[in-house]
Amino acid sequence: MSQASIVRPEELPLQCEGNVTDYEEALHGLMVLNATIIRSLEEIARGGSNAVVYRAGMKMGHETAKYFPKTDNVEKALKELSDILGRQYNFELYKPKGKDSYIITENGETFIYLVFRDCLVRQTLRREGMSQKGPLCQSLYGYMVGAVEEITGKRGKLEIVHVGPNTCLKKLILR
Amino acid sequence: MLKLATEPLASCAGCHMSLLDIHEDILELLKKVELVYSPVLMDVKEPPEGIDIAIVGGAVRNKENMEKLKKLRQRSKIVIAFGTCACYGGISGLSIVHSRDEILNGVYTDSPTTVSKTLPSVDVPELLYRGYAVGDVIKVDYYITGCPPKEVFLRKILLPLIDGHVPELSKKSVCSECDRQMGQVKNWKVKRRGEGVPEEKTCLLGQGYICLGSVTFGRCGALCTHHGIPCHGCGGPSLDVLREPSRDIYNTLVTRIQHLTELPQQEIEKELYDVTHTIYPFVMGSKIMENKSVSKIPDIIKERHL
Amino acid sequence: MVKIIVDKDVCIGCGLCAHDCPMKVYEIRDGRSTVVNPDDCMQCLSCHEICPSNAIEHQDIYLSRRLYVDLEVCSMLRRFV
Repeated sequence: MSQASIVRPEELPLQCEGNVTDYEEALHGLMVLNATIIRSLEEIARGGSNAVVYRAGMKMGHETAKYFPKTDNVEKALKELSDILGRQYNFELYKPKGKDSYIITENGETFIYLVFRDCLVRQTLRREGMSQKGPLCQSLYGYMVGAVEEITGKRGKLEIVHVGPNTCLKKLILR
Repeated sequence: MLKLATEPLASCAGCHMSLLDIHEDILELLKKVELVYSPVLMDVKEPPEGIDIAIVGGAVRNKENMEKLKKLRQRSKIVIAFGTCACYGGISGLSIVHSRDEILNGVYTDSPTTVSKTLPSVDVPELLYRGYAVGDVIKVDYYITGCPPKEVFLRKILLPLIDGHVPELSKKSVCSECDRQMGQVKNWKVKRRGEGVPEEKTCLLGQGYICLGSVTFGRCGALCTHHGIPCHGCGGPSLDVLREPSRDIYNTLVTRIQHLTELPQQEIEKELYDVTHTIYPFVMGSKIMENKSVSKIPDIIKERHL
Repeated sequence: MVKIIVDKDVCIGCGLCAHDCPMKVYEIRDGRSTVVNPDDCMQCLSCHEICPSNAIEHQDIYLSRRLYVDLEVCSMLRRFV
């Protein structure tokens, strides 16, 4: 145990317990804590856990999209949002072969395909061996719906089509 | 000349014999190395100082193994864990499901033909409470799995490794070397190993035998499945199962059977029998496999000790 | 462009990749898996996870962050021959 020599409230300590490069250990610890909490929440609240995590996601979405210029064009809004989300939750618009626009109308629904590449939720679930498409994935659902609502004023739904180890495919359904 | 040492810890010495499987290349080997310590061949009692390469086979099972291993690590520059027992604990790792007293009594006092009922205690090292893999006790420089590592690959691995150059070889599972055809199956029921006669040309897992080929590390040429014997997993887990924390031998096998037969998971789990000896026989003693959160090993240990 | 290669010597024709792929990239022809639609691949790598003989290879794809692999297992895999 190293002893800190002099600690004063007005100064910034340049050295503390542990190493500044302990990020990996701390990250694994955080992921395990998060995954265990969501597992316990699901055991106790069952359907309610979906609602809790969805609401948390919506709050994050509203916060992020607060300073965006309001627009009606959903495609443009999504492209700017994916730039802002940056590196921890990276998503792109996806167009299957044979369609000429991103907005697709099929069976009475109007939707856009989104592929989610980097995802902290997927990494957390895989760290503890939990299956994807569970309650923690609802946080992304709430996030996208909240952000889109803040920018365009319309409220949509997000449905998960396919989950995989590297990328997940989701549909953003617009009213 | 490089100084080479070999050590069989708690093992059947099969891995040691397999060092001779490099056939004529052994003359090349002997031009480059000098054997300084090898209990199977020489009468040297203690590993000397200044060893360059130590090839260690077998698991750590009693106090003498532990001391020898630590001495070897101190006195060698490079340690190679050779064989599945050294990498994952092997068969000696199965000792964790029984207590030490059960094992000693079962072997020395309770068997029907034993006359004298005393446990040996003179000149016999004390058993540890479980078997350990070499990689879990000391830091190992190279891992070579196999039970034993087969000659086709050993000839490509051993000589370059002594020169310090790591060769690039296929790291795929046993299914990649098997020549049977797999497809969707209906009416799947588990068959024990002695039941029925396996058909040629179609996958053994599809026929109902518990074949671990899809979750086992290859490099054995799939010799067993070629002759109709379901794979027992002696190469350790395949790398895509080892790497992911959410995958384990048991749950990946159940997922594959689910995809092949379209049966629900509970029905498949009810059919599997004796998970300890059919699915985990070679990796029970490995701390890496035990630490996965989806592993069934902690449940098995708790159940047996109740 | 995503390039997908199936090693025909190693593929055992089980059809699990064709069954699992959401974009119908694979088809079983002559008892081996063939890539028929690489343009629609969304790089989810579910085919990698389900293939029993590790026969599929992807080139030039976006590989998402994987910070969750256990550190001990990582250091063991680096020293695997």
